[in-house]
Amino acid sequence: MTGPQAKAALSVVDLHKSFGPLEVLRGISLDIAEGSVVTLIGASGSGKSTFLRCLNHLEQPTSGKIYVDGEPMGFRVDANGVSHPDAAHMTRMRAKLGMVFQQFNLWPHMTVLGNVIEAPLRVKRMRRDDAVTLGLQFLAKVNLLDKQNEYPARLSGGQQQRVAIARALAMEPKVMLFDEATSSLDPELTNEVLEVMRNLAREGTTMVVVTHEMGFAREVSDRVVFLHQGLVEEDGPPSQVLGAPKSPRCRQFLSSVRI
Amino acid sequence: MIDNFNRYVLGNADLLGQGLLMTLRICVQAFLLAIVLAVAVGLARVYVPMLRFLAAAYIEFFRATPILVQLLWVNYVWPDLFGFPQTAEQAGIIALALQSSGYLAETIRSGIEGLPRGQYDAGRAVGLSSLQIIRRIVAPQVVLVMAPSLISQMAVVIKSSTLVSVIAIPDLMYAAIRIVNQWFEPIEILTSTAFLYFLVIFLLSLAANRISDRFRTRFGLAE
Amino acid sequence: MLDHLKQSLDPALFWEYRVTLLAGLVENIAIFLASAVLASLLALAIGLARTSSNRFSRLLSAGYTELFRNTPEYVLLVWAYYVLPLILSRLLAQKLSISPVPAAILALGFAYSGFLSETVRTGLLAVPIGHREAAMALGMSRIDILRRIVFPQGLRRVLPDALNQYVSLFKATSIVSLIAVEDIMYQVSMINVEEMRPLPLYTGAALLYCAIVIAASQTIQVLTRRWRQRGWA
Repeated sequence: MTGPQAKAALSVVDLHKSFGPLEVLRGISLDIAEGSVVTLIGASGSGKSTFLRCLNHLEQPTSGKIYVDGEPMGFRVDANGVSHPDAAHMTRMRAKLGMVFQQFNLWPHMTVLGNVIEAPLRVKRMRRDDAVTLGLQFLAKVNLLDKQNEYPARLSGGQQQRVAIARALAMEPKVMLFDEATSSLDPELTNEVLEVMRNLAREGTTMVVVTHEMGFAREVSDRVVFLHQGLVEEDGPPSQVLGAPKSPRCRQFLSSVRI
Repeated sequence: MIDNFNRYVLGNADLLGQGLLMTLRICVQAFLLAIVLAVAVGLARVYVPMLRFLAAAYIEFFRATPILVQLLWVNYVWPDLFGFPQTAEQAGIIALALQSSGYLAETIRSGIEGLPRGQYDAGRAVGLSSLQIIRRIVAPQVVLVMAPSLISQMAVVIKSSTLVSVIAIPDLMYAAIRIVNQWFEPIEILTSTAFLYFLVIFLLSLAANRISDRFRTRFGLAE
Repeated sequence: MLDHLKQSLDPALFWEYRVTLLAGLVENIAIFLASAVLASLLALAIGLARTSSNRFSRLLSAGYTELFRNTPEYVLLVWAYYVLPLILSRLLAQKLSISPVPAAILALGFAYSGFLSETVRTGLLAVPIGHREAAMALGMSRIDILRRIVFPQGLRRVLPDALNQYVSLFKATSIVSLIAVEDIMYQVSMINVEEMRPLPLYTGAALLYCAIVIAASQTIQVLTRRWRQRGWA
């Protein structure tokens, strides 16, 4: 394959998503280079979360294509270059994308370590020893090694979200997707999560982040994309989009966000 | 099969009809008796503390024994023990009533206790007498809240009533089995009987659900 | 009356026939276990179908649930014993009969699968959708998601309710005597024919069931309380 899809870690081509008569995503095309950190901003209803959830097909796009590392998501390309829809293939491809949810979504009936190693065990079919080693490695990365045998209910929100990050990282995905990862947290707990995200960015993880945290967007992202009513309104480095946006709607949005 | 249906089911419609009437008669009487018993037990538990243990034991006993066992017990043991019931029909009604009275006592109790204190206070504040409060404020609300449970308990009584044929009460099951024994063509008769029971009970449970939903949306009463 | 009361509570007759009665009770327990397994398996399948994304599955399973919840068990029992063999015979063009015990197991199993499927459905619905999504996002297969995430949480939550359903099922096994299964009520009736002493026999049967069911219910309550403390159910 040639073209931008070949180089990008994640490539989105003309993505549309409708919920019944309401079209939420009206044709988004985006390439995300490996190692880059892209922040999506926009008003509620602009489609940011929907877009993210379409990437790993938690929402089914109405039309458009998504390529992860050059491979089309949910379609298997045969020897002649013809693509066939393939649900099993999609499930496998999901493993290449890691998602961190606003509500953490840790599984309460498993320990912290249990949460982290579950997918490597079931999806990658790792041996238990290997999975545990891997899990502990990522728990250490998010500074929660000491909580490995606790149940999620005993952890604070910030700790739970960090476990969720470790759980997503344990699958060693190509791209990490963050869906308003700090929006449910009390202010004093957001920093520990943002710190982890910052470290990940520094290490060269490819990240797509939906957030309201403008500070993070400015300091950590390589690129900021402003969505308005299902379309990309502005797309560029943080200095531009956040500092001197060309689009009036973007300017309006930013002024309403900064008190 | 249609021929058989016509011959054995429609042909015996009068017998089946009589059986159905007997079923309904027994169920209605049992249900009413159950309510009386439930109220009595409920009142006893609240106002006569010494009987509280007895009342609780009574409820536990009748919830723990299967209806068949209760039917046989009331029918064969009670006449010697208590002097009544004198007929199988009475035995059926009593046994069914006893079985439901436990559940109904719980329903009534939670219905009454569930009513917020404020309702009484509001009535007193505007000068209503105790009797008026009970009649116009408490009773209607309690009845409304309990209605779905009452209706579904009626469905339970009908389901249990299928067993009264065992003590030779000529209900619907009895009629159906008699016809089957006579003509040896069980398919149409038993399936029709089953369907009939299903229909009645299903409609009752639908009604209970509809009423419960309607009350919740219209009156905001919790269930 | 007091004399009759004493007669009713006299355990001598029960004791005399204890072996036969015990054999009958074992029959009840065996049928109970088999029906419970059948009902549970059916309930899992139907409960899943009730929460499926497929509308057809949802409708069909809802119909199934309504059918078996609203049809009296005795009616199902009689139907399973008399009608089912005839229908199967016609379908398979072979003379078929179902003996009482399998008929009883089928009837009770299907009857209680109706109630249990509602319980399963409630449990499944109680699992927050986010947990499922997290598993999907990690690339877990549907089966693994059910097995490792949805069922463990959902079923654990409704376990107390399910256990109470099983107790009701045990009570319901009393009706199998009516299609000549040699359970405890059957034995009691037979002994009554011999001895003509209904007072201690039927009173004893009632007390026996009472004891078993109350013991079971209390155990369930204690277990439920303990589980709630541990934050399981």
